[in-house]
Parts: sequence; C-alpha cells; structure tokens
Amino acid sequence: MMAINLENVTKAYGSQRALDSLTLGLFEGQVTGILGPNGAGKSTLFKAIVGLVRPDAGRITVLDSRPSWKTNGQIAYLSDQCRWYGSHTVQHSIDYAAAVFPHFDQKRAEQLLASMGLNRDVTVGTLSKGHEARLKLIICLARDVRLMLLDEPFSGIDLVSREKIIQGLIESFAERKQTIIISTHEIREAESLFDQVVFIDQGQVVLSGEVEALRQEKGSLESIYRGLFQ
Amino acid sequence: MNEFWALVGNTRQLKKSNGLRTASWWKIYIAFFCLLAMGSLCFSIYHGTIGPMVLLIFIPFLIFAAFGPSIGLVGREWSGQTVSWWLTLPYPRAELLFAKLVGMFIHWLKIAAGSVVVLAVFAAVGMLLNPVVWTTGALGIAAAVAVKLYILTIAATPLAITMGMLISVTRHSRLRPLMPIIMIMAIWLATSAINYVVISLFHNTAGDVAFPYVSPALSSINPLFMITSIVAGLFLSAIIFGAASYILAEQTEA
Amino acid sequence: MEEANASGLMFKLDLSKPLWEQVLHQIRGAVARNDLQPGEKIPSLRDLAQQLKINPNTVMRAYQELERDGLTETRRGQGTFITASQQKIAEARDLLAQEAVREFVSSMKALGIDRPAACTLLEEAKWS
Repeated sequence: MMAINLENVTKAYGSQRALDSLTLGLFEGQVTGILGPNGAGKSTLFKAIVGLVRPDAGRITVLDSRPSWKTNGQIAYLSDQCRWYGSHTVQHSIDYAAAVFPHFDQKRAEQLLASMGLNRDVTVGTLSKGHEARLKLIICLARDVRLMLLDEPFSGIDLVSREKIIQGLIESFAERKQTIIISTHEIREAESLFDQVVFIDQGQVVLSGEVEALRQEKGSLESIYRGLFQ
Repeated sequence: MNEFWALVGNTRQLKKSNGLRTASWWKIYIAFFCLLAMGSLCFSIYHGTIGPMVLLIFIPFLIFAAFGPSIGLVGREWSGQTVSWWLTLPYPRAELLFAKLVGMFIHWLKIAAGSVVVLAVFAAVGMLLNPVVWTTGALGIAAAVAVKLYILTIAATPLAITMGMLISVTRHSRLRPLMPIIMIMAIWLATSAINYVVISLFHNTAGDVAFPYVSPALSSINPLFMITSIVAGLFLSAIIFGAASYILAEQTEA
Repeated sequence: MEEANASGLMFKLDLSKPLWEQVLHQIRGAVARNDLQPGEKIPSLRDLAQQLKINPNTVMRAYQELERDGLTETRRGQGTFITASQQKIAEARDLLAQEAVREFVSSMKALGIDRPAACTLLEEAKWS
C-alpha cells in the first residue's frame, strides 16, 4: 500500500531541475529514509507532497488525494528551514498547536514535553537550537495523523537533543502505525530507524529498497551512500 | 471555529516579535519626540493658533497605523520562517488571511480608542489653557464632527488592511513583477483619500485650504454620504481581499 | 558497530548486516549461555527498540522468529518470556554450537589447515 506516489514529477527553478521526472512510491506504515547530497531535491520533494510547491509536470498522489491544504489535515510536516513562533512560551505553543492542528493530542504533547525536558514557561525565542528542535518535533509527534514528513530533523542539533528526538520517534512509531518519511545527513545515527530507503541525486531516484535486504546485499547504508555519491 | 480565533490571536503574537521597536533606547527617542510634539501643541493652543476642529485632522491618518503593519502581517511568516507551518494549515487560504485581517483590525481599534483618549486629554488641556477659543459649545461641535470622521475612518480601515495584505502576498508570490502596479494603485488610493479629506473637508468658506478654518461641509456630513462611503469601502475591501486570497492560493510557493 | 545495553544484555549491532538477524542471534546466544534464564521476562518490543535505538519492526521480526522457534512465548497482557522448556534451550544451544563449528571449519580452511591438523589443534587447545 502506497501512502505517497510520484509519477514523472518534474520541478524546475529556472534552468535547474530540482525534481527530474522523478518516479517513486512510499510505503504506508513504514519509516522511509530519504538520503542524498545537498541540492539533490529532497526538500523540494517534501514541499511538493504538502503542496507548498507545484510541480511543472507529473502526478503526485498523497493519501489517495492530490497535494493540497485539505490533505494536510492528515500530514505533519517539519520543514528543514523553519522556526517556531519566537514570542510564544512553550506552554502557549502547545495550546496554539492544539487549537490550529486537527487531531492534536494535547496530553501526549505534555508527556513529550516532560520526557524531552522542556520547561513550559520559557519563551521559544530564548531556546537553544536543540531545544527548539525538540519542541518542533513534539508539535509534529503529538498530532495523531497518518503521515509525518521530517525534512532534516537532526540538522545542526546537539547530540543529546538528537537522541531525544530519535527516542520520541521510536516511541511514536511503536505506538501508532504511521507513515514516516525522514530526510537526513546523519546516516549512521538514523539508518537503524529505517524500514525503507530512497537515495536521490539531481532530482532522480538512484536506488531504493528495503533496508535490511540492502544490508544483506551491499552493506550498511552509509557505505552504500559513499559508493553512490563519492 | 476554534482554530480561527487561535489564528487571530497569533497575529498579535507575531507583532510582539518586533525586536527593534521595543528596545529601550528607541523608547527614549519616541518619548522625547512625543513630549516635543505635545509641548508645541500646548504652546499653539495657548496662543490661540489652534482650535478644537484642527486637532481632528489626524483622525483620517489613523488608517496608516493599519496600512503599514498590514504589509508586515503576511511578510512576517516568511521572515520569521514560520511560513511552512502557516501555509500547510488545513484551512482555506481565505480563512488564514481573514484571521490576520481581524487580528489587525482589533489591534487598530485599540489604537483608535487610544487616540480618542488623547483627543479628550487635549480638550481638557485646551479648556485650561485657552478657555476663550475652547468653549463647551465649540467642543460639542468638534465632538460631533469627530464621531463622523471616526466612522468614516473605521470604514476605510479594512481597505487599508486588505491593501497592505495584497501588497505583501503579491511580493511573496509568482506575481511579484506586478508589485509596482499594485504600489501605484495603493498610492493613488491613499492620495485620493487624503486629498478628499484634507482639501474638501478642511477649507474655509473662500475655498482655500487654511488652518484653523474648517469647512461647513465637515459639520454636516449627511448620513447618505456616510452610508455610501462605508458600503463602497467594504465592497472594495472585499474585492482586494478576494484578489489576495486568490494569489495566496494559486500563485504562491514557499 | 553499535553497542547497546538492553536490560542487562549486551548487544553489538553491525550496521553492514541485517539487524533483525543479529538481534535474533544475540538473544538466542543469551538463552544458550544462560544469560537469560528459562521463564525470564524479556523487554517488550517497544522497550528493546528504544534501548537499541532501532526500528520496532526490526525487533518485531526477531521476536516473531523466536516465537516460531519456540524459544519465547508471549502471554497476553503480561509480556514475552523465555521458554521454560529445557529441550528448546538445548536446541538453541546446539544450533549455536553448530554455527560455531561451521565458522571454525571455515577459518581453518581459509588458513589452509586440513581436518587432521585442525583436530590436533582442538585436542591441544586449552579447555578451562
């Protein structure tokens, strides 16, 4: 069962093709890693799925619909270049998220705040990058939705925050069968989370498959990555 | 509807994150400027160069307190890097914009209310410093005119807000090249409005623009004129709002 | 090599080989060596995934295999337990022993040592 389907999707910025006739299916209920060098088109892929960019050609199906704000009710999307509202306190962030995001589990959010060690009364603007990353992830994890898209959730984050985020992800995935798509550069740390993996370069799929099968055939994802992109 | 009021409330939150303007040294400059302005006003009042009616001239300019910030209202989602949260919200784009409009309007109403207080204070000051000009009779007439001006200004404010939003939405969309045209439209609208208010309402019986004389027309703005102005203003605002919603929905990428 | 401690058990996971097999293998080894007692409760799927920092599906695959072998049994509402059956444990031990022998044979062959020489080495080897 495919949660997301892309058929010959092309998106160009000027003469540069971020997505080049890309065809890809992403399995429902699995954790899929999207790996590739900078500029490979990973972020554009995510944005096309949530409707933030519109492809020049091709067809995208997300949860049996076209990408649009309507479909986004069932999608938790964490952009690679986003901040949370700096003037909010942590507590207000949760209250606001509960009001604007459908299927937001406030109790779960409070539990996650505790397990991630975030102080409720602190202003988000004063949080360190790692703590803000934890908060952004909590806002995604606390949503009871079918699909979660995380674009480089570990980028520039300190070790402890990364481990907390991974912990939160495993917990969430064990509890509810969601489709989770993660793009990251921290391959060694994250590869043990993936059921499936997709390697992307220059807007196209270079290699994809079940992670354990690929390990059997070719070795660790990190070594496969090196083999493909060195 | 839960989410709508949360979005409205968030407009106020967005305003809070204006680092430069709340710096304490900046506040000192503003305070100093205000004192200077108030000082010269009191001076003019005392020497009779200014009567109650003249103070009312600033009321229409209140719409700029809505216009400027409205441009930033949408832009701040981009500059604050929260646009990926905002634009992926599962609500129609019109609802997202309308929440910002309402939030801005409520904020502006508070400023307008504040301006009423300021006027009242100056009325008291006037009566104190120059009871010859600032009689209760003159103040009564001024108050009646003020009410009419406030009503017209409140009716015009949605236009200013939607215009600001249109400018900002266009700036962040594929239709960005159209921005100069929209800016010209905005400037034309603003100058026509100011032209009308200042020149046609603040002239003496000889037809010249001159302080402190005020046109008889100002004291007798008839209800029909007011209603037509309000309806026209709201109608125009709706059109501009529709344009902004369309652009946000169909022509914007983040 | 990722090392992790899960409820007192040491796991060593090599990312260049399928993880589920390693989890399975290492639990089997723990049972065979009596690091895990008969009837002992092992961590839940979620807990083990958390402690090893791997995908719960990986742990699930290993647990399913253990269940199929009869090395573990899941009691609803209570958790997963190592079998009390000595026979099953003995079977696991045999399996691992045979694997170890296969590896020994491969190593010897790779070194060009034939069977008689290998047996002599075994006889002379220290056993305590």
